Amino acid sequence: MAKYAFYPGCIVSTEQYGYEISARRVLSELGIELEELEGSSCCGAPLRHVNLNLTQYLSARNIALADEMGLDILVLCPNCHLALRDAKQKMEGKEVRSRISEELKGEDLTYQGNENIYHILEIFYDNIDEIKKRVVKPIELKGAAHYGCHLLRPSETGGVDNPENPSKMEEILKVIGAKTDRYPERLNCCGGPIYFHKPDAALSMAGDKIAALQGKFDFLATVCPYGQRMYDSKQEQAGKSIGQELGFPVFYLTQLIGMALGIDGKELGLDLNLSPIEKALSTLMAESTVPDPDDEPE
Amino acid sequence: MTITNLTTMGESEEELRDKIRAQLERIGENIPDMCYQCGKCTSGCEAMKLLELEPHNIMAMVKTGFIEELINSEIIWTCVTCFKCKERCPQKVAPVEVLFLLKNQAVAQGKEIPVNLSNMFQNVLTQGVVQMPLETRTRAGEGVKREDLNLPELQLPKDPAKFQNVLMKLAMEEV
Repeated sequence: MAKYAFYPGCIVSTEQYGYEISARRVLSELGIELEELEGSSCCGAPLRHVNLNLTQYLSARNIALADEMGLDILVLCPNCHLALRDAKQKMEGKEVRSRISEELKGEDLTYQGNENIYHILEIFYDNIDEIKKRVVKPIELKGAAHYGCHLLRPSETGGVDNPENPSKMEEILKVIGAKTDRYPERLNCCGGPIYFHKPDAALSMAGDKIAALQGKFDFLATVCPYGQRMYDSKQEQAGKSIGQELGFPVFYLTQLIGMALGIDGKELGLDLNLSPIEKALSTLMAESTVPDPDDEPE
Repeated sequence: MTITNLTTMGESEEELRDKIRAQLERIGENIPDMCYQCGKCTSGCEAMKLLELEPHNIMAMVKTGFIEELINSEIIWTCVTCFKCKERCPQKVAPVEVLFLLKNQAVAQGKEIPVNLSNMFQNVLTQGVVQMPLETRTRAGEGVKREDLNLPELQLPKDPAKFQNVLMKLAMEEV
């Protein structure tokens, strides 16, 4: 059975609980075992603006902790994913390696960098056949995908898919029974990284994307806590910032896979989504998708 | 949100420019001298439409050595870090990485930075994470804490004193 060191990241584990709950539940359903990355800290990505040394150190220390466990790291947040992969790449350089290794001694840590770093989307994609086999309640709606910038770019460091035309999320959506399509705003940023110091601009960016999706899709799927925060948690404010009424269901991909696998909504943290997901759920419930053999016409 | 246009009477700050160049080389990035001003970065920049960030302009200024104008300008804090400029540059220049270094330089010089970033820095330094678990709410308006959801305890550095010592030391050092 596959086993990973689980690294949800600060934003997920202190605020976006729906992602963490649904990820843990769905991974266990798929027979993937998780161990906590004990003693882990922030990945350092938000501190890139302040001092790159700190980012490099923080990511390296988290990788060193996984080295001790001898497990690959499973990450939920694209920003963490990029920071860890970037740090690992930079640790291949002699100068960085010796400098950071020296500092790691201060915490009694040794960096080896033997372990891989995976985002949950990569894990799902690798298990796509298993997911397909287990679908009991297909999501018979039309969904749009939001990947999160740091999951795709820079492709040479963190990218898990084609940076200009990714398809892994769409393929997973199809496997769980949903219809999907590409849309012009697909690669647009959610505004999340500048939300706290440029809130108006950030909210407008989020609002514009949701406004473009309304009426064309039934829901948006994300794999990024920043994206979910902007499109779901702050959808109401985003609507105000662009002067439009927004009411569009936004889910984590983990929640959608969970529903398709027949897991109860409560166990997927569905009550924590703040966008009006009932709109999508009621359609799902109404068009009960698993035909009851007794109802089959004679 | 414009850059104070002092370029016509300013002098090129060669020392600062060389420092940024050396830092870029150290982190494995091309220097802005490679930029031929095609504007591909700016045409796809997520912060251009609403916040008037023009990465090709930033590259030209760094190349010429007008660094102080940039460090003193709010414009460097508008980058959303989408990394499209780095992905698409035909010359493999990475405006997003140059902007990180300009911001790092602004911090090192004690310039005013967005308050949320200094708060996050303080939080990581003292706690190991950007924020401690928040109470969120459900769609029905009920408050929910991490412990209400049967999630395991939040992971934090085991020896905060040692953790803080290393971070403090690194924060003082040049990139």
